[in-house]
Amino acid sequence: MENIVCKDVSRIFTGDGIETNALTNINLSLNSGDFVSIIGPSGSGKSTLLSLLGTLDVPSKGEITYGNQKISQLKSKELADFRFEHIGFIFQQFHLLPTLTALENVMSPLMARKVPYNKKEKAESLLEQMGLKDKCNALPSQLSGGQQQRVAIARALVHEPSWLLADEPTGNLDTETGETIFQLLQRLNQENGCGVIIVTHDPVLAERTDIQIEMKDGQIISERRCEHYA
Amino acid sequence: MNTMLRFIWNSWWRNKEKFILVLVGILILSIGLSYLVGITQANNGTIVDELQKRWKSSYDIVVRPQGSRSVTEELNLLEPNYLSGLAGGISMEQYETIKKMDSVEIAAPIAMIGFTLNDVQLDHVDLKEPGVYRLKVSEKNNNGAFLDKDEGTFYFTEGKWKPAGLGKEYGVGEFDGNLNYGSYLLLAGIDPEAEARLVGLDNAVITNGNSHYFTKEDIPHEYTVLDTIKETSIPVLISNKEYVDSEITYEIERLDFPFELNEQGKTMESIKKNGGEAYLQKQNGIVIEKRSFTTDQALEKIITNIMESHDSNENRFNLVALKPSPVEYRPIKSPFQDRWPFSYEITPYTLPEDSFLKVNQAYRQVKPFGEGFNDWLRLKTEPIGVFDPAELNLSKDPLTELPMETYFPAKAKLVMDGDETPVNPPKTMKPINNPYGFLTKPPTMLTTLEAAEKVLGDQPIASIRIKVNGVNELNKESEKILKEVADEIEKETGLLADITLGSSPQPALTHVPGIEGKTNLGWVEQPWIKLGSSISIFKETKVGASSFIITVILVAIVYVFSSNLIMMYVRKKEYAVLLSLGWRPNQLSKLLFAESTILGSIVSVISWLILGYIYLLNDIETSTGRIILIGVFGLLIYWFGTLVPAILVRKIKPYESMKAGEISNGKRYFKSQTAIAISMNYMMTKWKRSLLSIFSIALPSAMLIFFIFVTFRLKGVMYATWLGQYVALEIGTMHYLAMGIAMAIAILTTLEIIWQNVAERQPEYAVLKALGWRDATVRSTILFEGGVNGLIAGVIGFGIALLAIIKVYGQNPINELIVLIVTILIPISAGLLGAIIPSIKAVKIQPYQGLSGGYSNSKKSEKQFKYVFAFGGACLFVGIILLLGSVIPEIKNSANPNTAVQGTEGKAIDVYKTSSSKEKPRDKDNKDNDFSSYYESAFKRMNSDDQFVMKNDVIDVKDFTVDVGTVKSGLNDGKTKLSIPFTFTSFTETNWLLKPYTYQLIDSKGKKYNTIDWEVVEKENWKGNQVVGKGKISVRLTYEVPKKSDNLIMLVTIDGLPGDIVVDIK
Repeated sequence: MENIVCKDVSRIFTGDGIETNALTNINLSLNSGDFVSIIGPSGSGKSTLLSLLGTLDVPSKGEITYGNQKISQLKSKELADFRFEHIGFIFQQFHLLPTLTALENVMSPLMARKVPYNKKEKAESLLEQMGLKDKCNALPSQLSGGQQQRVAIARALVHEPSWLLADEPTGNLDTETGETIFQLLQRLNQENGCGVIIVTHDPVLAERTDIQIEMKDGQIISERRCEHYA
Repeated sequence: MNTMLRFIWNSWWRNKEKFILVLVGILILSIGLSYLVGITQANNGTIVDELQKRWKSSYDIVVRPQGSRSVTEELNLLEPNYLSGLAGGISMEQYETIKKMDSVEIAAPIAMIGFTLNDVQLDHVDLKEPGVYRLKVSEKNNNGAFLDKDEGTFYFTEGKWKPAGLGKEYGVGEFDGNLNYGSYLLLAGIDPEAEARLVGLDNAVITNGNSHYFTKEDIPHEYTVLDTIKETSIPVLISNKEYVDSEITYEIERLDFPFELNEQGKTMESIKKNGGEAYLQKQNGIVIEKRSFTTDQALEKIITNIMESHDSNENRFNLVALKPSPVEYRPIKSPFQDRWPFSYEITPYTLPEDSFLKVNQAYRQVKPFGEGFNDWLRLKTEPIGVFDPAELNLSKDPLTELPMETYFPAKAKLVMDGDETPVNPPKTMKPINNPYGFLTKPPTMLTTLEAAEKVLGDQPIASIRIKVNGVNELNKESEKILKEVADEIEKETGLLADITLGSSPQPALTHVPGIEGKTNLGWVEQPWIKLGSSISIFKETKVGASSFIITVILVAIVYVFSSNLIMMYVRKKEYAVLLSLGWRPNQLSKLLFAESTILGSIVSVISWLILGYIYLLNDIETSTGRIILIGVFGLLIYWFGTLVPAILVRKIKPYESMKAGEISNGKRYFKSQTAIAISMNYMMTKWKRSLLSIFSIALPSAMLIFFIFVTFRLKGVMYATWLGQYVALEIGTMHYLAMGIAMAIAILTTLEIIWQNVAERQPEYAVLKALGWRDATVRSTILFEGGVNGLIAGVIGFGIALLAIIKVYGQNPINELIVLIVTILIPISAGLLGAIIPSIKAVKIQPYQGLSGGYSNSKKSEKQFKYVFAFGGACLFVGIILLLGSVIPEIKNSANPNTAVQGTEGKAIDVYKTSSSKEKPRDKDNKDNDFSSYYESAFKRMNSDDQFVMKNDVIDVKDFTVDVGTVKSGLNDGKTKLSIPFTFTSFTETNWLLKPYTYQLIDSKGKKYNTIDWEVVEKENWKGNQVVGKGKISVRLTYEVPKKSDNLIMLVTIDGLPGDIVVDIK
């Protein structure tokens, strides 16, 4: 499986002539199947780190390696293919496509791609897993927040990624719904062996993950590995 | 692909407000395309003047004497008002013969008599103070293009002193104090009965007790004045229309000479001794009287005199010296054959050297009645009435464009000047106040045929217009009848009979060359008469619609571009999400192109539908090429408009999906203390978008302003040469419609852009409203934004239009500046219109809406929407199609027979010269100093001591020969004097115009030498620079050239040859 290694990764944003060091010298090594949480205050760089790990962005310095694959060596098309193969994304604002139904949203990563399975059946079964079988044809606006996030998770899973990256997946949800979503992620990690990285500022939630990475001012200040279920 | 289509469809259908805009855009583009590309091109930019429908001459056949056919009739063309140029040739017996024919319904003869000065006393000056006076008479003649001035000076005395004889040695004459003025009228005899039947002349007479139509009592009288001198009094009808626009100014100056009773004799003797008139000319004078009169005033006075019968007999005596004569035309190659296949040049007439007239050249042959005034007609015109040519029963629409009728001057427009530069707007030429102008005048003084016979003698009639029984329509049957009647007339009388029914106006170009005292006027367009049994169409080729089609398409592309760009902004986050889900960037481009292909195809299909409907209804011909073109345009517009967004979309970073709600991080440009300033700031932060809306409004605005200028200033038609082609751009409905469509697209562009701006600022508006902003304030900030966009676009458009006007016409539109400035209101309104819907949207924003995107989709509303949308769309579509269907017939029917017209050939001559002293080298020739250019353009090349023989290829006879003898040279003051014998011999009946004394010598450096002397060695039938028929002119030309000159050539010009004969002089 694919281990993620970050080596001296920095990310500098340049805007209006001012340079902002969002990340500085991040060194990190994650094994496939890890359940990782990144916590820290606002502006600490956790979302930036997540987007780098998710290949949505490229580091200004340093190198991220997935298995033997150096991300910096990939062109944008290869990067897209890489994402398609390895990474599923879940956003805080769910980012469902408002004009598509739940089912269509789940199918959206598969659009214009050839897959060995039936796209629709796959999407339907995922929605069923999420307990949204009856919401297949609902538009995002017709769904509650929790439902929307479950659609988003289904969407992230449809192409069977090795890593699931979630940016504050429970941030926009009430505690109860948030808990459901978290448990869902936990189950996915345990049952599917799919690595999960969540960004959160909820320390309670973070406590329940295998690896907790704490960030501040663009740097990792601590990394704790707990063997909960060892 | 299926999923992608679904995706596209969903994104449209679930975003209805935007979708409506997209559909409106599609509809506008479809209409624009089908109309501009389909219909305009179907007409090939040709608008057919409907004149042909109204075109009906009052006569079917015209009978003329033998030999009166003009050279122009070889191509079945007749000069406008050709009847006025004919003088006699048909006898009364011949007329009676024709009149008696059964098939002849009306035979109306016209006997052009000649030109008579119809003047009247307009004022009288009574000079009480004895003295020597100078009378300056200046006449300003407006020929339409410029004022032609003519001045004369005359001296007279007032007092007891009288010269012993005529007083010529004193330089003075007598002046009665009467100030007269009037214009030259063409006097013609008509048969009152026939003319009444043909054109209703009797009904055109303005009757009162003193004005009436010819009656049996109105007969000519001949009476003896002196032993052998007889005068004829003739009854005349005078036209109440003056076509000459002239003004005469009388200025009387008193010269400073002592002229008391006892000094008069002494003063006059001293004037005589000092040189008479030449001496008087040097004297200064004091102006004591100055009066001006126009030809209109003169005619008014004449008419009043007749109508009120206080016409005294004083001014009714007329010496008619000049017969009417035709203008001699020479076919030449038209400078713009596409537009005017037929072009002629007036061959000026050079008067014989012993002519009694002071001019040497005129535009038409000057035909006096005889050598001296004893031969002239002595007429006393007795006015019996006034007629109004406008009341004649002629097809008079438009009045002045009837070149066949005898009663109006033919329309003539100066379309290009001597340099072949178009005149904008074309100037309407007016006849000048003398009989030798190139415009043929209509007869405006009419007498009876009886009177004409009395004064002209045997063959008074110049032409007979014939109306044939049973011919009402133009068809084969009529043609057959007319042919029979014409043949019968020719057989019975030996005259020429030509069928005129079915003839039509044919615009032809006449080159008016410069003659002595007149510059090369340029090119005049006149409606000539095209004889022929089929009605050809009076058509004007208008400029291809390509330029404004391009404008519309450009604006359309900008619209699609803006629309796509905005769509991209709207979906930026969506795209980023898709990217983070593993979409490839080029899939996004594909998505955009798929979308634009669908939209472009819809545009094409709708255009085809509209076009099909119009064709179905209107039977307009079209070509497959055009239909394909529409399809291609539809797709191209959308593809081009997608090009840039498709590239930009690939630059979207998946990372942007991680960013929270985008907050515009614009800079501050103004202090945001007022609503307006906030609005301006918003605009400036999105200045690139605003630029799009500005550009799309500015382009059609510029065109509109330009069109408005053309409409106002140039009466709707602009003439220009583009790439050597003469084009007339007639600004009509179509042009405005095209710009209307472009403007509609521009409004849509603006709407989309401001819409997007509002959408992006939705949270800000929500906050502002929460803070207590009123709806009106929100609305005004958005309207202001639209208005400012429009204003900037207007200013830019105005600037472009102004530059274009100055560049294209070289004219400064100062007079129209106000009108043009007002037109800036159009782009401003466009900007405001574009802002209205977004402003409504902004007003509807509720404070609580804050940051939510807000897609409302209740099933019920969706269904309702479906119905409303479908119904509304269908109504709109049908309505527009009906509208177009009803508008098109107005411009259809081009038929556009692109049959190749056999045009005229020949070369124009700038100026016809009369004498060597005035000779100037031709400008064109100055440019080339090399002989080769002369050789290339030469008609023939020969050596001195040689002969050139012009042979008729067909019958193998000699036309003429040119002999250049041995050149003799001698020295004189360091210069070589060359004497070259030159002989031209004609062997046929053709007349050859040549002026050997104007032939130049040219040396290898390009320097030109004129003759310094010439003498006629031998002549035979040599009259006024012409060898008339068989004849000969032999001259010895003398030149003076520098000693060292060698390699000389002589350019021999013989009128009618396609080029010069270049003679190598040894």
